[in-house]
Amino acid sequence: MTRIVFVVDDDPYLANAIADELAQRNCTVRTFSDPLRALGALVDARADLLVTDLSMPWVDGQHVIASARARQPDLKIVLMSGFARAADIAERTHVRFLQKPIDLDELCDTVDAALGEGPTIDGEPDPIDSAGSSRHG
Amino acid sequence: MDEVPTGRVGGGRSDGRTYTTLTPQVQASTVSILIVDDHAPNLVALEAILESLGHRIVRASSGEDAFRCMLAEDFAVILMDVRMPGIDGFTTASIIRTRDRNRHIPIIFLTASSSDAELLRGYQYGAVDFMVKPFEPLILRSKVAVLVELFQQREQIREQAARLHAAELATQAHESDLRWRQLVDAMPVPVWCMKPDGELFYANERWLELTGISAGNTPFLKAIHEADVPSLTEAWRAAQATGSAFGAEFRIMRAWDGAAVWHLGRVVPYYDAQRTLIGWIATAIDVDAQKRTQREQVEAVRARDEFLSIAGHELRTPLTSLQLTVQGLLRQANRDLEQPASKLVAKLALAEQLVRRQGRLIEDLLDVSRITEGRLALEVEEFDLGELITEIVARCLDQASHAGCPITFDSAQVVRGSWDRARVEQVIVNLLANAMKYGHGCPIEIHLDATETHARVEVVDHGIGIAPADQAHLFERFFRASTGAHFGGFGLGLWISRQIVTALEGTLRVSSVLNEGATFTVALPLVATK
Repeated sequence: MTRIVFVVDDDPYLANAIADELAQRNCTVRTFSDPLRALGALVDARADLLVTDLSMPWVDGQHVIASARARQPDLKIVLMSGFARAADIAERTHVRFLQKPIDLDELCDTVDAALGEGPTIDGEPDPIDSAGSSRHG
Repeated sequence: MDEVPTGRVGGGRSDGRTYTTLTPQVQASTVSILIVDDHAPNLVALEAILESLGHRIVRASSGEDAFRCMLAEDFAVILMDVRMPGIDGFTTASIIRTRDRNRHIPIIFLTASSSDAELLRGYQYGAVDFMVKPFEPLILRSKVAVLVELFQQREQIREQAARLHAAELATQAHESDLRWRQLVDAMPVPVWCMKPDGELFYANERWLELTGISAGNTPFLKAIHEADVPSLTEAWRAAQATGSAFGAEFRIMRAWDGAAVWHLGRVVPYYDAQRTLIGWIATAIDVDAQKRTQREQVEAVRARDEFLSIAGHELRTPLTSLQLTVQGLLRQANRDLEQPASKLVAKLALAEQLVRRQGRLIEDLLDVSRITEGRLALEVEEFDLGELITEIVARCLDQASHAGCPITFDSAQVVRGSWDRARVEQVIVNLLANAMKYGHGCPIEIHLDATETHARVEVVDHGIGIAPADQAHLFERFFRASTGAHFGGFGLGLWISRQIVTALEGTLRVSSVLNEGATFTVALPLVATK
């Protein structure tokens, strides 16, 4: 079963690098460098997992987590950051945490663990997103 | 008791003026004359004789009565009958003389006897003169007038001496006060005196010049920055409780420009002889420069720490992507040796881009030290600025599409000039990166034109704009507008750009309206002299 993953990072290189790897693991990945567009996409499309950066322009990662949950309460979330204090935020908001720079094995383990947490409800993803790009593995 | 011959009294009365103008320089004033006689008609007659002198006549009917009168007031002259029942005139005179105050009052004895023994006795008791009855009123009046005049002169001299003494004291006090004020005014620091409640009652010229507040009915706290009033009041209250001096730092509001200037003040209580607090004397020295340096140092340390934290994060960002990409490449190579080369090439190209990006970040950091150490070397060559911008725009297409900011470039003419190509490119790339970062997904325009002497490049975005307060600091090192959001980057781009443009003898300016966008304008002389 293909899982749908949204990757949100203002650094498009990193979002793409993560997407490349997750695409190998039977995931359909959409990347967003603007978190507002990711939140917009969540209104119409379901996702199994949201991997988001903490410090971004316009919208902070914490806000992304709260808004994404409001749209989709059972959404699994992984927070990434280079700032150590972000681990506390992850704990407080009950999401998994990835410290930057990200190790590939750690990324795969964290994503697998998050996706394996519980049943996810199948939903049709929005096939085209104007800001993000989609990759299928 | 001697009879006064009243019949001759009228003889001299019409001539009253003569006696009051003996010494015209003496100001005539009314004095009191005491007449002592046990015989009432004599008193009446004496009063009649002396009345024309215009002085107050006081009657006493006995020696005791005379003492009573003398306790009540001072007399210029005493006319005393020698023979009186009870205490006689001589005894009365001798008792009068015992009082210091009365020692010099002239006494004229009135007597019927002119024996030498009587006169001698009289003089022994302090008589000034004798009038033997019956006496000529004119002579009596004349004698009394002379004695009154002497009394008046003496009084006047005493008054003048007192006035002179008072004037001398006042002059001394004035001179002392003047010297003190000159001394205090000469001081280069503000000095002011306050009543116990803090009301300003004296301030030197420096204070007045500094605060514009003159002494009198003004609480001195009026000159102090309102934020410093609570701590100063507290320190003062503590000092009042212990009666001791205290020091405090506070800002004085400067009159001419409204600036709050840090001062280190010392406030000392002063007391009278009974140790009652009269007030406080305060002085203050300007420590604004030290404070500013202190603040700047703290700010510099804070900026450096913040920069190090940001730099660490920024340097790690491309490394994160690079690490993932390289790890992915390795894994792919191990897993599937048969995979198409194009896939590997795409990943390797990405890795190369990330390495370049890392290199650019490090170059920016090195530029900071090159510029601050004055080692920014320029390699000037002639080139077409429009061509360079076209190249840059083409290279930024990917980034622009990610940011959702399409870039258009228009040029009214071919603009060629002599500049450092790499550095000009760096400036335009910085301005474009900035426009994309803050462009909020709106189009970006680049305009190029030239005057006879200068080339001009405008980079226009329609993003979040820059608050007027931030515009002044925009080109400072490590500056970031306080938008509360994370936009990435070192905060060095605009500073480096301005340093480069300045080195090329050009200008870099910004104009912006908050929430409407920003326009950065670079003007470069067509021929750089360096």
